[in-house]
Amino acid sequence: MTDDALDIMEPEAEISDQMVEKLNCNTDLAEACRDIALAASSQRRKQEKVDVEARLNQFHRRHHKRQIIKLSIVGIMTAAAIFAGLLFILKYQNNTNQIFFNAEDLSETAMLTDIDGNEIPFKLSKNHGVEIKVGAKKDDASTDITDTLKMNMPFGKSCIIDLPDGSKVYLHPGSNMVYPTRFTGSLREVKLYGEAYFIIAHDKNHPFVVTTANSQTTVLGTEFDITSYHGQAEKVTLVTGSIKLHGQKCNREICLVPGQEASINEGGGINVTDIDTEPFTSWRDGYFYFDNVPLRDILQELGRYYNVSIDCNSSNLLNYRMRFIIKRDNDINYVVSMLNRMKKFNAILTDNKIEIR
Amino acid sequence: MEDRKEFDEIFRLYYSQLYFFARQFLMDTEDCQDIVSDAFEDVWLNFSSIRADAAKSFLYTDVKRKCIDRLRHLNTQRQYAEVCRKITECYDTDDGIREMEERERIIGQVIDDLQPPTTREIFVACYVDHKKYVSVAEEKGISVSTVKKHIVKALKAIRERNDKK
Repeated sequence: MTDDALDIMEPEAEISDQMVEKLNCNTDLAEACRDIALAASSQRRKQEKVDVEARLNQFHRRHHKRQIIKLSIVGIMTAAAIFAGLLFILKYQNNTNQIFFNAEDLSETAMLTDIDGNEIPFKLSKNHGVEIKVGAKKDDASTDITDTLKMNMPFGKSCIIDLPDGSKVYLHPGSNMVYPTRFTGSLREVKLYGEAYFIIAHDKNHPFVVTTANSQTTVLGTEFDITSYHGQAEKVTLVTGSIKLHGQKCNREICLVPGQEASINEGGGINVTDIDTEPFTSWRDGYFYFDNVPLRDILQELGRYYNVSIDCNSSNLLNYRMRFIIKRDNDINYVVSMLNRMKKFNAILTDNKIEIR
Repeated sequence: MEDRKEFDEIFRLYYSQLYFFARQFLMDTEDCQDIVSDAFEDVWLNFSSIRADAAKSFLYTDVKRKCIDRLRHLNTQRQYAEVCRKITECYDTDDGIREMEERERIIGQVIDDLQPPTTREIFVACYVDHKKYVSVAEEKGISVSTVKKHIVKALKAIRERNDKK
């Protein structure tokens, strides 16, 4: 174990995927690596001095300059309106396309139903009007009855479902999940349409299985995201731990390591790639996170989330790749104003529609 | 700006902590300065919506995210970014941060007290000066396995101290 820590922490070490996996599973190993990092840090403090006052002065000087530039360009923008955590990097790409995203009828509401389609009332604790948290239906201690529930989130709504085993599911807009009020038997099974981020409580005796249109994902306890909408390749992305994925059409089983995404195409073929898991963990933490993502995809996601239609007549804009990070609990007006601050296009919000010009 | 005083206080309080936190993963001192400044920029711009007591964990999370981003852009091994992500897991909460600060202080003492001083020198050469084990061995005129033995000894001393607690 100590030897592994030495191998991982050696300067310019070549670290294998197996080693990363070992590190993720073995807490002692992680502790040993952390100890080395902290020990080095403690000694580094003696060698390197930091002039905090000089840095503070530099910060305000630089900030002051930036502020003046911003103010002269933007005109009247109060400091309060300037949001942090928000960065834009724009890249231009050549291509032409258009987009239409149609908002759903606003009368549709989030709905919890039992197996016969009867509506079950549930408490909404409103979080900035968009997100709701749904408590798991508490087991009635006097009965052994297990109900099957279906939680349906229309566009414009999302929720966090607490499952009876302590697992958490972040259900995205335009998605639904079927799950029991309590898990019985050897498997913990749920069904998903759309997208959800799962944080599964560890229980090695009761594997957790997510079934979608094209696949089955089996885990013991881990964090991962599944996207399975009609007309889109199904995707399973692993953030921590390990999962087993079974593709139904190709009848093939694969294992994923953290940072990998399996994509299941129309024909049922599975393709595994390395990806940045930040967008998924950021969603969990309450952010939209787009890094080097075409404007088209960003608008589509915003459309789903806020249930607004998107209309874009200018063709090239949609292929701008940009970095856009913003808290999801901001209202749509604010998000649109932040999009406009890039000065690359003009986004106008009218009656549940964003027009891009 | 009214908040300036409060902001400066937070800056003075956390700047060097965050800087050395970033330095655990990034070799370039300027990169680290930029990342920490940018994190404070985020706080500054967002000042009205961040509670003073939440600033610390906001900053740590921000710096952590930026470091990992930076590693990815530097074309470093993807695995190294993963290692950093794993090692920094415990910096997600105020309690976690406090615990790590305390732990670093204790570990620092253990390293200072190591006998003979060669063990400490070797440790510093490897992890602070970023030299491969083999070059440290050459410099000291000892074998690589002896270098490793010294490090294992240091780790053992740390562990014993942690267990005692």
